[in-house]
Amino acid sequence: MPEYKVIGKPIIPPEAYLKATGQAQFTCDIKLPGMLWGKVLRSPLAHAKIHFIDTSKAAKMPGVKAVVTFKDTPGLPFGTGIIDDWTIFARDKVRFVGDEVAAVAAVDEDTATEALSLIRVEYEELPAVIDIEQALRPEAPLVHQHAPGNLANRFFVERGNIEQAFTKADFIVEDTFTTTQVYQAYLETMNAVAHAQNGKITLWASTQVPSKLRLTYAKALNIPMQDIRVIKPFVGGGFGAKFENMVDLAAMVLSEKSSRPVKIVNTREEDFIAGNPRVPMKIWVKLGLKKDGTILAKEVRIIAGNGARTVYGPPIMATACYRIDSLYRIHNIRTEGLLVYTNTVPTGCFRGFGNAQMTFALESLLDRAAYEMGLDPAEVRLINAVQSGDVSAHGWYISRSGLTDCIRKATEASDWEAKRLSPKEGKIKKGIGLACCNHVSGNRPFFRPFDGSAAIIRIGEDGKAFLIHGESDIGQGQNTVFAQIAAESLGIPFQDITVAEVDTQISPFGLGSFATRGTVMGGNGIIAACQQAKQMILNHAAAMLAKPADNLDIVEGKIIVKDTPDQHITVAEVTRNYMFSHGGAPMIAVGNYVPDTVLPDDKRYGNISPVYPFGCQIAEVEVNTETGQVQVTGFWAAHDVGRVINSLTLPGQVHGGVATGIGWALSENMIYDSNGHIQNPGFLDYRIPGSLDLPNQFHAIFIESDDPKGPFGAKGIGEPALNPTAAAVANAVYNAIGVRINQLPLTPEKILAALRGKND
Amino acid sequence: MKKEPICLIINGDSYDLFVPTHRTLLDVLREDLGLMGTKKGCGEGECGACTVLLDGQPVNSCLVLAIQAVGKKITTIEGLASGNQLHPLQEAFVQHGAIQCGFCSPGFILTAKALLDSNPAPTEQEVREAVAGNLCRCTGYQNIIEAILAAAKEMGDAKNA
Amino acid sequence: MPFPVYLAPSSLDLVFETLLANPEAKVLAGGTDLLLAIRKNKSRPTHLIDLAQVPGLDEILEEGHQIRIGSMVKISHLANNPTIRRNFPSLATATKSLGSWQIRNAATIGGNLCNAAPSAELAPALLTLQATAIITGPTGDRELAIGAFFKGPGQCDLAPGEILREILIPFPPAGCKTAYYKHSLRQTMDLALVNVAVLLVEKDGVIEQCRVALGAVAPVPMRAQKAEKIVVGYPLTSERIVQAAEAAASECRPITDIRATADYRRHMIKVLVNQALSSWAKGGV
Repeated sequence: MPEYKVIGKPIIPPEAYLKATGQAQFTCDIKLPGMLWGKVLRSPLAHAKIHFIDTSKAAKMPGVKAVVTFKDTPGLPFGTGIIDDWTIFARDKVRFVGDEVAAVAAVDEDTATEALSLIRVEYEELPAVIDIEQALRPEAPLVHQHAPGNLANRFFVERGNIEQAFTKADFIVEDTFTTTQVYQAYLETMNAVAHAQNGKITLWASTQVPSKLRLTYAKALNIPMQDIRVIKPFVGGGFGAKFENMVDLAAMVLSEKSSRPVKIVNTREEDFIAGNPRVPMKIWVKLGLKKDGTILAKEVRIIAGNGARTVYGPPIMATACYRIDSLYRIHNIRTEGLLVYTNTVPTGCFRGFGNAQMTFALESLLDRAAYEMGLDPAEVRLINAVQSGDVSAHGWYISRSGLTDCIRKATEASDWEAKRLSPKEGKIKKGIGLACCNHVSGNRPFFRPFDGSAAIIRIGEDGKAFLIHGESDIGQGQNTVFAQIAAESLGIPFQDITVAEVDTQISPFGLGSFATRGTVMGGNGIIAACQQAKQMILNHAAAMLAKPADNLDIVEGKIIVKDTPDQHITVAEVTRNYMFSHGGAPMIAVGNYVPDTVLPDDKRYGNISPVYPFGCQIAEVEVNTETGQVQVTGFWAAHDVGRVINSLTLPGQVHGGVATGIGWALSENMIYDSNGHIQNPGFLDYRIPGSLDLPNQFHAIFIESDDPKGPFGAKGIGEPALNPTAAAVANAVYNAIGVRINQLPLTPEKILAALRGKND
Repeated sequence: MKKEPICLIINGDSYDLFVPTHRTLLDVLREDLGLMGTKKGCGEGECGACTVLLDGQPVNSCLVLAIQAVGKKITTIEGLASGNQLHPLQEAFVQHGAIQCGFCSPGFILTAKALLDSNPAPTEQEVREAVAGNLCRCTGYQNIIEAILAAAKEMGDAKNA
Repeated sequence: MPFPVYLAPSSLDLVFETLLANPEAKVLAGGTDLLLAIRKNKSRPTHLIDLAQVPGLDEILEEGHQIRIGSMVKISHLANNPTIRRNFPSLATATKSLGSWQIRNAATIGGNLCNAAPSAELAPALLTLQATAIITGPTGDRELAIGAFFKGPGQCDLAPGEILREILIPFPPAGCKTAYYKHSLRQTMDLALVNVAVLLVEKDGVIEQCRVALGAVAPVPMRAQKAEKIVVGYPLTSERIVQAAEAAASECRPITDIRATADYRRHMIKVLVNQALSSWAKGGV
């Protein structure tokens, strides 16, 4: 492997100093002169007709500067590019508890809150449908008139011949799994600052997708994209939630009406009831296997909950339906997915994007198959693991697969065999479980116009580079990885790179942080820009030194002459000379990366990502058979990341993903009552793991498969870090106590009930 | 809305304020004084992002009325570094990858400071117990715990040197 | 959403006066529950009467056969008090299980008790320790066994104008052992699904005194008297422990809510009472 100067090193993100001292400015920290506080009036009912809204009292209250409802908006239906089932504020109906009805901007938060209580809304309550299976029944109330049967979307894919394959199988196993609606629980709630001036709007947004916001909001507000400027300050976590949302739009409409800057910050409760939590799913899986564990056929049916409007439900369900088919060599496949509307909070992206849900189902069932066939679950995975060079059933080209290595390293490091077979005695039983995952680094069909990334490098008279990209660092350290890639590509020190925050007025159209795409897409775009910049530097240096450019190189900020090692000038000398001989123009290079992916056809055949990351996670648990409590006591996560770019920040990505996965497995769940009210909209009763609830050591193991399509060989890590965690924990619980629980989360009550069932 | 004149001592500076009596210390710090390092994560005392020290003890500033903090020494994240010299805990958080999105970091650092002030050489379990009221969704806590233990060692070494 | 007027009287007399003048006023102690309830519109007092300026309410005093704990003593103060840790280990354990460090630095013993949550951390330990509530008001002081202080969820025995001033706890007799067990889904920062405190005194191989208190399984924290009767007067054998645990489970009256089902709470009472008594039998407690 080549030796790099910056790639692979433990580089500290420069902004960490700002964050440690309280100086980092998040959107919610922005304060503009004359800024107003906005508050949103939300529906208390899951489904109701709005007869009228009387805002007159609120509007007259001293300190109130604007009150807005649907009537103050262009009124056009819009969406995130999938189904246009959004309006800014409810038109004639509310469809979930928390649905946006009106908003107020006032001089301070107290006044805005009080003004909300003065708005009178007359509702006529309608029957509501909360449960995803009930929503499909013929007698179920309709959430949207345009969607008979409450069907928002259907996905179907078929490969090979599953009937024939099942008849050839030595062993057939099937089961149904339930994955819950869980909340991303970023520490900075959704919030926005909007300032409408001169017919244009600036939006400071806590977002993963700045350019996409501009696109969607221009349509919603019926104004040219050019008239919206999105700036992304530091983001206090996203984990998938921070895409298009109504908080941004409410702030924009209020600012337009009041002609003043408006800030809206969700309370934690608002964020629970009106954020965009994970798509809940009911998944039936049937597998046919040969005696040795080879998977011959897989049949799946999924019912997924879209909530009351479409955020990203369709691609999330599609992902659940077919992404995992590139984890193992499976060629006989039939999958059907139904996405249903319900009168519940609209669901959206959450680290794993549907693949996490399906991974829980498939990896639990495969584990069961292994045990029932008397095989080592790790061996069954090894037999089926995709290998470098494979083309999967859906046409995905796996240039590098480190899956086999992941399984081997994780089982070795965790002492898998001995722990798995150890006798399970006593009141507190120990168990160990394993699960694998695949994922993507980019998702070609997500935004149909394009995938890829672009970057602008601007080098001034000091020889230092200003890197402008349109992706979105939301706290995962993306900007540091980008600066490392730029420094390595240009041959200048890391400290000489400054990464600009995203501002759609200047930045390229970046798709943003999702689909584990940042490092690969953004990184490749940056490499392309750097290659051009480097060539510009070398060309200019060649003229200055009277040497051919191909005899020059840049090393640690100096231009060296390859055959005369002691002759050199600095990059700064070259770029200064360039600037002063070009009327003050900085050296600017624009580079772009368009991946060689293939948009899936109408049969879902294509190749959606340039590279595919893989992972194998092993959980060790203790199950208290008296209380039913599960404690994860050890965790090994082996991930094929292609190449480690930052050895300081990469393990943290894995720790965080696993921690969230453990919460999903054991404690987190949004609980509804029959009227559609979420019963636990706060951190007290929605339990995310705390410092005492997680294993003391996560062992992150990295496999460097050096993918030729990744920047310096790298693949993404964001979502794989969480995808297999819940299944690994559930499989460990099985190993400990001999019962399987297919409904997340694995609460003490379910564990005890399962144990009772086993003993009966 | 009843208002009261109050004086708060924050990071050694005194501030004369005229605030509604129901205003929380968190809101005064952020909205009235622009000390934005103290974060509002939940407003319900459940996440610890708004942790400040009152007479050296960590509290959730969202559950303290500003008027209740009169006469007490208030320390916020802005008061920890001396000039450009970071507190060893801040430095350790940076060095150990304990900071990702950074929204929870000020609260963690202040809770950790209170811990090390009263228990300069805590065990890992003691650290985990001390910061159990601070939630983090990015890091899984491991690097945070390591950073606090490293800072304790660093501060202990500096004392003994 | 008018916010209450904040007042901080400097003497008990002024407290009584203010409370009587404003029947919808509420007493503010640590504020960790009350401020939140107000913000969520679950409590709408006209006035908040902060006791912080009243002298003497935040002291822990040892006097002969008992300890006197002011109602404004913070939970963290209680948790770190050497006398409490030495003489009342079940109470010390309970204090440490309450909320987070931040919460314990704000919350007070008086607030925890007057909030009268069925799951209040300190209540079971105080019940087994036979603590007394000293209530003070415009007409003078009165004493009440702590068990009689709780009237229902969120309700306690305080007449208009009255406040909880102190808790008195007698030092337990020699040879007495106590324990507190809490069961919650998260290790910390969580409410008790159930909690159990026990106190045992043994003489000549026979249990002379036994008190078992249960939390979060009835409208108010309760004594498990059937369980106690099974234990008193006999050596503490494993059969008796099992019987007592079952008795406790049968006499509690839990409800199902989003945190747990009644069945699970009942089951956990059995488990925790068994654990508490067994650890004593093994010499632990």
